[in-house]
Amino acid sequence: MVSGSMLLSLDKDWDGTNVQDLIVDLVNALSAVRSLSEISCEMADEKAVIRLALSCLLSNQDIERCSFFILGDDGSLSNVTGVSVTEQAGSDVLIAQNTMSFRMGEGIIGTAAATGEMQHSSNCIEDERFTSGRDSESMPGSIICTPVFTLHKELIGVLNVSHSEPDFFTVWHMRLLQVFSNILGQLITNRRLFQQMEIQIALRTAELERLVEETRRLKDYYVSMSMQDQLTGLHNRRYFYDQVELAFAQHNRYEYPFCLLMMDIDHFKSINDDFGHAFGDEVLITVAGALKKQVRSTDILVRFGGEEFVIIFVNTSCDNGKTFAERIRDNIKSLKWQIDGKQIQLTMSIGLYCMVPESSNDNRYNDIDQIIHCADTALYRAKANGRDRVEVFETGPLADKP
Amino acid sequence: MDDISKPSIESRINKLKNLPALPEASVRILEAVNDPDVEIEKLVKVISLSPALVARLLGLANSAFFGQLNQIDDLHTAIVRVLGLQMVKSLSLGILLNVQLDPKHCKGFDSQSFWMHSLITAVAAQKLANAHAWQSLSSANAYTCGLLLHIGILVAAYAFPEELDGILSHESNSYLHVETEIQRRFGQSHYQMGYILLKKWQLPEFYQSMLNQFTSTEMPENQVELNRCLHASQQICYSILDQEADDTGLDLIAATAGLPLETVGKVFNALLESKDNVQKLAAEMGGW
Repeated sequence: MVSGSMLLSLDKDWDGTNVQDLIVDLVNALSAVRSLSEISCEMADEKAVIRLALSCLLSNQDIERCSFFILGDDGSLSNVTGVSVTEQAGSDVLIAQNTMSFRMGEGIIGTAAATGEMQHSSNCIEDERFTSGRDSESMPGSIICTPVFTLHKELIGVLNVSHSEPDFFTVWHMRLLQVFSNILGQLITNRRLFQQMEIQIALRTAELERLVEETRRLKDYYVSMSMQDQLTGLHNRRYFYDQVELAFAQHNRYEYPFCLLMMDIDHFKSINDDFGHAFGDEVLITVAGALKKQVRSTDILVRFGGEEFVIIFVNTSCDNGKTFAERIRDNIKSLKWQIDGKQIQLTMSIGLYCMVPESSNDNRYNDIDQIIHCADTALYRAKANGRDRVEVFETGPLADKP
Repeated sequence: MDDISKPSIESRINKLKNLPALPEASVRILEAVNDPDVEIEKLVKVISLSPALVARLLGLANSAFFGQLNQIDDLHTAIVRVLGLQMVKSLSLGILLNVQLDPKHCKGFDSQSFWMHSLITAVAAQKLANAHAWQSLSSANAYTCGLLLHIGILVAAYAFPEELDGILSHESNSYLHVETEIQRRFGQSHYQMGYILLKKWQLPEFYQSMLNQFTSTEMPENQVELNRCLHASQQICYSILDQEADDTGLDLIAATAGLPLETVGKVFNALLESKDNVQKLAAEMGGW
């Protein structure tokens, strides 16, 4: 990959016969390579990587300007970045060549790209490889253009170093640049691979996150399905047993009283029989909606099964519980339905059990099934006593439901 | 010569790989370098006599290749821990034998005088730092700063011999005059030219800004002590090398630097005694 002009200069240019210059040159060359080798391929911006690489070269070598022309999709070489000695001194002036570009084979940069070989011009002004029309002020004295390849020998771009003086570069510079451009090529290849990997990982991660989210939504849906009565939208029996533990715990710890209402729509079976299940369902939905309006957000209201509903009024005394129960009974009685030209009205029987602090001294009532049984007993009594009424379970020997 | 542009000065300085070691120090360095059994302390001491070698070695020790975590700011560490005896010997020998000033082009440059200026300033700075116990300034660093303070003049003599000769062949050769003339003709001070070199050679930031800020009126907090010490050392040096060396200006030097007159007087007298005797002067450099 050594061009003819480079071979010619092998003997001519090398004046490093003095050991002191040789040592300095060696250390500087190794320093440039070492700092290049320390650039991380994890940087996001390829331009930033190239710019850093050029700085490594500039700060450890006696060249004045470096630039990099990258091969684009359209097959042309355009300037991605450039650094010069004056920039290194801290000023931020960019070289005014940012928009320059060459076609393959055009100019010395295009020639380096097209031939895949390093090009050296020791006197740019007299060099015909320089495309005409460039103003001689910005033209360097001497320049070396080195093609940079990926690990698969695909052209990435061309690395250029220049100096304002003609005949400045020696074979020493060219040897270093060969090594430097090889490592730079590997660095850029690695960065691109790394970048692709990052993108892949990001895609897969996003896909996974989407799946996890979907699974979570499904799970929530099924949980709510299993806790909810599909017809009325109220919670179901399962939810009730889940929540009642909490009411119990609070009762035990803080001695909060609570009231349990067991409610049943009177003669519901005949409604189903007379007007069909669709109407029966409509009745259940309306009753559920009416009940919902009677409870606070902390209370527990569920459809217990069929035409049976349960409410737990938390932190509620027996007197208040009775008042609430009467209010519910009145409310249900006032509901009206129209079917087949008839107006339908209903009543509800309610069994009430009051869980007050003293009653928990009795072990029998410390179990939810017992309490439900008590409320059920009261409900049975309400039915027996003519329906459309509220009965409170009286403490005493547990009555057996027939 | 009136047309040396700033970029071309910088470009020429950036090309310098080495600077001459000066004949006055060369003999001693050569002796040490050629002695296979030389003690490292002795080698460090004689190399410390040459501004060019000190700058070159400190720069190399800090170059990326050696990958030091911290900046290497003293010659002893640079030689012993980073560069190694063999490389230092080879490099020094190469510089001594191959890098020389061309007397044809810069007749006016008095290397003896340059060396005396550098060395006296260095020793004065070292002694002041020692005596005053500045918080942020070690005597070894003070010495190196003093030694490198005028390296810009050596740069000019080596890289711009004809241009410098134009200045030196005029009447006075006092450094104050040279300083003003360099500023006028080169468009920047020799401190700036020294700064360009130290930057290119990648010396620690400490030495670079020491030169870059030397004449600045707005000094970063951490450089004030160093700057005072160097200005005082420079003034002491000028007083000593003056034909009628006397101690009349010492109180002003002491006041400006914020140092006790007694300290400044002591340093002045110690150096005055040895000024005509290079051997004695070199011996005045304390160990570190």
